[in-house]
Amino acid sequence: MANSDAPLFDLDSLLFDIMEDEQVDRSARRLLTRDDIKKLIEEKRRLRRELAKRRETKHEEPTLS
Amino acid sequence: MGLFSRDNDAAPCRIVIIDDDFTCRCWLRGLVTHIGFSVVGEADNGDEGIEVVASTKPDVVLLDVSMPVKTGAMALPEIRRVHPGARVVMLTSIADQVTVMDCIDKGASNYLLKSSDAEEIKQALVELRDECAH
Repeated sequence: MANSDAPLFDLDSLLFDIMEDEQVDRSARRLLTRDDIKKLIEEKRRLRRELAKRRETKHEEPTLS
Repeated sequence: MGLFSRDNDAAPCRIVIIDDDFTCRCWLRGLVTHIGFSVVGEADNGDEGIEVVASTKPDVVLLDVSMPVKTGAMALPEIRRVHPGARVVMLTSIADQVTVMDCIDKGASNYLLKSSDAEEIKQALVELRDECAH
């Protein structure tokens, strides 16, 4: 006969696992709003402009002879 | 001059619509024509879309994401390769972060959601048309 004091499973760790799985799933399939997307695009455009500027500046730098 | 009208003297901004949904393509064709774009080609999958873009060299490409044969996200780098001058705008119902980031990283200039208000889509296209004119 099984010992009635021994837990069949650890409920706390089971719940923790479920919570962790859900977090992974939510982050992988996080749905964005139009505002989120607008911000991402603005940020990307800013980075592209900065990169282009940096490239331009590099081109303009006089070379030492 | 109204918000959606344009200077008649300017050459129309040329656009290609790539979407597997026939109804959606019809709606978009009507909308962009009304705004002042000239539709120079259409396709219902990514593979065909690449060919149409390569042959018509449009100013703008409206690209759906979820399509048979080749998805919009897969076709995007090829479209950029065959015609780097085109502005590629994603127009899709897919809004998950991974897909959005993937398309932006691959060079999409905008990402519009089909679930958005029609006026919002219209406004974004008008801005695009005006950018085209400059």
